[in-house]
Amino acid sequence: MSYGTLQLNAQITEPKDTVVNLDSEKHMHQKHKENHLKFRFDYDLGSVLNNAFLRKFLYGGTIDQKLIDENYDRLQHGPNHIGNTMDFAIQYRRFTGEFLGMHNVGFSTAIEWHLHHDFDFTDDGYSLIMNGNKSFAGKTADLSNTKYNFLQYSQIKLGLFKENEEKHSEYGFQLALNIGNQFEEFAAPHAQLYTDSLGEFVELEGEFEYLESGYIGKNSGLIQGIGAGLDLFYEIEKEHKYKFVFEVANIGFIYWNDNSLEYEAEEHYVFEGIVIDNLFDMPEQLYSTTVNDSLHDYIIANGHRGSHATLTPIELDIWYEHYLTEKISAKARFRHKIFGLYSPYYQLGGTYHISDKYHIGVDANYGGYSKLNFGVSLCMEINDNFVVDIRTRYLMGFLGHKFSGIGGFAQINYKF
Amino acid sequence: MRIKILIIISIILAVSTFSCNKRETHWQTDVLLPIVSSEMGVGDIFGAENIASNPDQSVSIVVEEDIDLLNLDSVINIDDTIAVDIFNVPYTFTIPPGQKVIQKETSSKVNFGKMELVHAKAKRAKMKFYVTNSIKQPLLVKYELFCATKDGAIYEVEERVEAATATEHAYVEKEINLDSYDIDLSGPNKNSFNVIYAKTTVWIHPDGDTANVSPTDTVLIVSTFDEFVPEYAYGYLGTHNLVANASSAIKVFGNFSSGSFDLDNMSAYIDVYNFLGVDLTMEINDFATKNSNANTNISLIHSIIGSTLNMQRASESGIDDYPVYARNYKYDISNSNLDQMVEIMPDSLLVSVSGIINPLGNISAGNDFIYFDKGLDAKIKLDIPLNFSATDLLIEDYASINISDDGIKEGDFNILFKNGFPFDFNLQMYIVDNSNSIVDSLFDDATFIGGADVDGYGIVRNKKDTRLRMKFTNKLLESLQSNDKMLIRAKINSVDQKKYKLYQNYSLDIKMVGDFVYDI
Repeated sequence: MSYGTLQLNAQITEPKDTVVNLDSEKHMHQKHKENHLKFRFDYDLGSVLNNAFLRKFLYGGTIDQKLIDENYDRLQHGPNHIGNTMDFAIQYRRFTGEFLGMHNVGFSTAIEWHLHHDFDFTDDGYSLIMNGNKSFAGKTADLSNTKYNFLQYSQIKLGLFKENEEKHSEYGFQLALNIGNQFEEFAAPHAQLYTDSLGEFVELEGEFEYLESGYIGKNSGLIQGIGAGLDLFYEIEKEHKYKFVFEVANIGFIYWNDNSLEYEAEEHYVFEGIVIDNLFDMPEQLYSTTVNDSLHDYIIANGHRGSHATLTPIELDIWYEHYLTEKISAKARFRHKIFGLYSPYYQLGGTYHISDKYHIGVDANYGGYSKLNFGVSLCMEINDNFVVDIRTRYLMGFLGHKFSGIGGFAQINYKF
Repeated sequence: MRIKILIIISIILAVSTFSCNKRETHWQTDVLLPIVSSEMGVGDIFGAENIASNPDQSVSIVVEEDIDLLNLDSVINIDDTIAVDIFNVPYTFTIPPGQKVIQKETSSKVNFGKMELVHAKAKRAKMKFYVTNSIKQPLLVKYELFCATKDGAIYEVEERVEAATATEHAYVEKEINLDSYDIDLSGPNKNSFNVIYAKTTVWIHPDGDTANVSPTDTVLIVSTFDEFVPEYAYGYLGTHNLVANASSAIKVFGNFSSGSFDLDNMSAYIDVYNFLGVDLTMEINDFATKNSNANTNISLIHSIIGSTLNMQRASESGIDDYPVYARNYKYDISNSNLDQMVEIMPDSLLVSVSGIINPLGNISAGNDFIYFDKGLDAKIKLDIPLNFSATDLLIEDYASINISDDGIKEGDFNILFKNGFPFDFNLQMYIVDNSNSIVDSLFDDATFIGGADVDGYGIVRNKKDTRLRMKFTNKLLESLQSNDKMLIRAKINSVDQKKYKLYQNYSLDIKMVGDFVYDI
């Protein structure tokens, strides 16, 4: 009986590379000599804003003033995050034993699809959007360091791993062909909006940078960029004693085609209303497009098309699990997403090993796209071939009005 | 086992249901935003194209209206048919292919009415050339129009005419394009007028057989003017009596629908330009302004009315770009009832004239000329210094509105006016339905916009601020959304009913600021 794919901790930081998600109560050599076909779906939504707000903002409903004010109080007077990621992976992992003269090696191959959204905003930005600009009459709203990233890409991965039976360790790598589907980036390193005390004008000034792939839309299968990536991992384990994992995934880039749009400018724009030359000769319509359309048209008109390279968010994951007793283990984790709008993430948790087939866990975590949160996990072996791992990362987000985040992880591991 | 699978499926379904439960997200924000800004200057009221600055930066309305007093189409008349030639032989004989049957030169007199022209140039001209053949062999017909030359070459055309059959004559029609041709109408000996001089030659076509031609065989050639638009004519143009009624639209007062204003120091001139190479006499029978809405006409009271105005002929310059030195006659009509004519805020100018071309006959010995793009033109120039007082002068116009956005909830629109005119404005905006009936008004309260104060020189130095508030209620919003037109009406009165001189920097600045709840 093996629990080769079991993750016992409920957390946001589920390793993306299932090669390192190998946890076992059996010996390492035994574990790796099995072949695995894994399906994994991972969804995260986290923010400083609470779930009651996010639920209505993203899935519909009226956001009342109480909820707006309540969330304003949650802001952290610095970059406030909203992150939303979705990952899907199918991996095949085979232990071959010998390969090119090396011993105790195996290979893995995977197809992965990633959707990455994150947004940084200021307290003033939140207030401006949710309360309107009237509260800023005669004042300046600070919008500096507002950022937005959207990236959707696919990967085809191929890698090797090697096991050291004496040290109970394993290390390996995967190379990835990155297939860029679409991306969009916005950044305002410095920006502010002044509203005249009588509302006679609003004044926007700042530095703005914008990048987008040639196409952004529903056709998520369109290939608009090509790149490469690298995953590395190392783990060491002593059965029922401890386990240490170091993983860095998706070190890479995507080179987008020459239809990509780039815009970078310092703007100083004073809006005094739509100027009508003659009041007695009004235009047919004061406006005919949405602000979003007009802004995008402006960017297209003032930007330039050309190839552009972007870095993929690198996922760094380091964790250590220590068995306090044969049934209970404790775990500490550090995680970070470099090149994403993500704060360092810390997690502490425990797992109760009910039996060889059932494990339940709880954890407390802080950081990432969210603040303090809790999660639970359940891992069970259905038969000798299937292991199912399900967890909520943000248990309190589901249950408590004041918490943030909606996240889930499901993995089915078929061993043969 | 099944229970475990059911648990898993239930969890997945629960998550999916939560994720897919997509309703509309909305919340309310308080918006304080400029919506519209506009600056109404003197040019916006009277039309920028009508405003001229004076040396002291004051402004005048300058109205220039062109009136074409002579319709030149009435001067020239032309008969369509130029010539009809019938060719036949007195006896029967045989003619081999390629041999000439007949050749004839014709000088046809064209009827140009009273005009005796020796030279003309056609802007557009089309002749038609019809040939009917009763000979049983094909013919070759050559038509040479000696009087029509272009770049030194005469016009000529050759045309095949098919053989007649036992029962039917053969027929061919040829269109001759004489655009831009010089047409010498003085005949072959250069001593006549209105003459089209041509030669027609007929052969048995070289491709045919020997023809038996009898006296009953005919070749009929008819030439006509299908279109003749002259560009220039020279000769004696004849004596013509002319009567012309002309009108010209005046747009400068189009924005005003009622009220009155009192003007000072107006001046006006009538400039008449005679571009014709003929002497003429003219009388202005009536010169009036008209306000169609009020159905009011006021005729000029001045000695020029009914007086005979003698005008000498223009002369040719020999310059292609400016071929005519016109004779110019300027008549000052300032000392008249002009102010009354303008104070009715006319929308049109009416002129009635009569005249005689060549009243003394052919005193130029046939050296009259006419360029048909210019005849007898009059320019009416009104110079109206904007130094006036206004009484309930009403400007109004309809504007389209389209408020389809239902996000705007109750609030206010604050409208700030900075008035640089020494005039008070009473402004109201009405929502009107399709039949232009007023449905609602945008302002409930006072709509008075006070005029700016003037200094000791009568000049406005500082604009006067007025703030009006438009309460944006649900009722008003519904009216705006269910109608698509707005009537903007401004009533203007001089401060203290005094006359003020307007300067080019005067303006009424308008800014509309929205202060409302917006439902996103």
